[in-house]
Amino acid sequence: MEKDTLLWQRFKDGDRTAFESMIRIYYRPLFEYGRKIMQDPDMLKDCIHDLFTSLWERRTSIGNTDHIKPYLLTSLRNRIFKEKQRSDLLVTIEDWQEESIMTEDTVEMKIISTDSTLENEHRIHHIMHTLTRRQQEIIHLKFYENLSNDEIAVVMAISRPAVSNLLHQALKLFREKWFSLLCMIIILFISF
Amino acid sequence: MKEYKNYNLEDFLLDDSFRNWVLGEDVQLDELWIDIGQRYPEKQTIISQAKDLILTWRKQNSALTNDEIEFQISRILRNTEPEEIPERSSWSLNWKWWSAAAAVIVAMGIGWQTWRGIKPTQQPFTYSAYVTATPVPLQEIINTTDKSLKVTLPDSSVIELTPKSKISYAQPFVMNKKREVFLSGEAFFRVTKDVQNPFFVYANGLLTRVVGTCFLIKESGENVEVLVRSGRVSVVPMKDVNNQKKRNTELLLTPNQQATFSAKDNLISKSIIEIPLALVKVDTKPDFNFENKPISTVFSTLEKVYGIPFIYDSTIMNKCFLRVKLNDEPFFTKLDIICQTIGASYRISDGQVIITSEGCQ
Repeated sequence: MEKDTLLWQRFKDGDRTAFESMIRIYYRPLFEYGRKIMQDPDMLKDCIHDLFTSLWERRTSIGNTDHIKPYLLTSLRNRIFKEKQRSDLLVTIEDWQEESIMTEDTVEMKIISTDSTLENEHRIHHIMHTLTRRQQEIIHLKFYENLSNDEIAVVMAISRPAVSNLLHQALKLFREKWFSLLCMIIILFISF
Repeated sequence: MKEYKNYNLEDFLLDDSFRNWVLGEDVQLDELWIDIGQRYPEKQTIISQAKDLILTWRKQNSALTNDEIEFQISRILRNTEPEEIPERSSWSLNWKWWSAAAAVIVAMGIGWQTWRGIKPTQQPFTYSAYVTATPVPLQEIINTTDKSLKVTLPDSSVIELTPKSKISYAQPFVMNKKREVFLSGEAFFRVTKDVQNPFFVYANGLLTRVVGTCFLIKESGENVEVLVRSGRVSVVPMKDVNNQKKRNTELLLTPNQQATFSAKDNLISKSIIEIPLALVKVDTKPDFNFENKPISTVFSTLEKVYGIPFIYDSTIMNKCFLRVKLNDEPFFTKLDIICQTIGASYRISDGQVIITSEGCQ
């Protein structure tokens, strides 16, 4: 994309306004993505902060890109995993327990126990949370960040066929869970 | 025209044209997809479900306010500010600006005078201020010997106090779910783990908070240094402790990192300690014998052993291989050897090693 190439070049030349508009454009997408792979929002903000400051420091030595978004998402992903790996050596068991995702049962129980007017959107979010981290991540990259399969392959560091495979799997699983939930709600509705 | 008879939910979701239509990115698609909807009435439900999903997934769902984003942006910009003042292109500034500037300087002068008048003679966060301000009786230990003094606290944490240093702590030690120690001088802390009651050290305007870990604090009147040996330690200037807005001044330190706090400027900076030590005692000794290894492997080995992050451009350096045998050299010697071998250079910034390289042939 030409716009990206230009913005990136201006940033590399030390243009502060280009740098600022780059942060402004990509802060939210980076944050939304980071939330899929990192629990602690404060730590995530630190990661994004470090990402941009180190980018600025290295601006003269980094290569060109015409796809800024996947580039930034990839760097953030690497940074988060690095941070996790580092803290893995140190992290205590208590910390990890907070991280465990909601299990399927509790989510379903929650949905059934709340009234049936629960909005569609909430249901979708609940089912999302029953998927694995990787499945959530790829759905987010495809539908929220609007990346192409090639770009997703770069960000997640997997091959292109693996992307379409994982994407298909994730969506299929989502569909199955969603439909069975919808059926359950209908059955409950009828039986009352 | 494509066959949509066998389309299921996933197929609609992954169809680029369908997605663009739902998101309203291409008006020309309207005709096409309305037509498809009419031709396949049995797909109506699935189509509307796919629409719902795409629109929901498109929404932001984290509670990040625009104010917060602005705050984070200014934090990044502040921390990347060029050090030297940029040159003015022209000196012929409007005289109004000069008079405004003069007014500001005069106002600042007046403010300074008034402030100096009110300012208490004693710094608010010094050891003596803490100790006199604490409402409960304190146990004070002063090392008057010329050797380091081992002090065991009631929670069985151990403090090694260097000569002429002193600590104070309350009796009983654990109060309000906190373990608090006041320090003047230098001490090495080996804190017993107690998640319920975090451990706080107050030293000249800097608050250090841990759960259970080893670290050293050096307090010298002007500066406070915190050097981390193991575990995670967080430090924050006392001034900002109760100020939610300024919570970003809190720094998280991991092993082999060090924070230096300047009480005068109320600033903390992060770097790497002088002689980083290997983190974990692994059963097998870490293998530093690099036999034609890609540079990414080398860096990640060092990262793992010392817990210090490396920042480098992996695309530029993907042709760099290292054939070198390293042993028990100190961390920075290892780094020197590696960088010389591959013709790169490094510097330390914010507790990380930043590698600069033009790549290898």
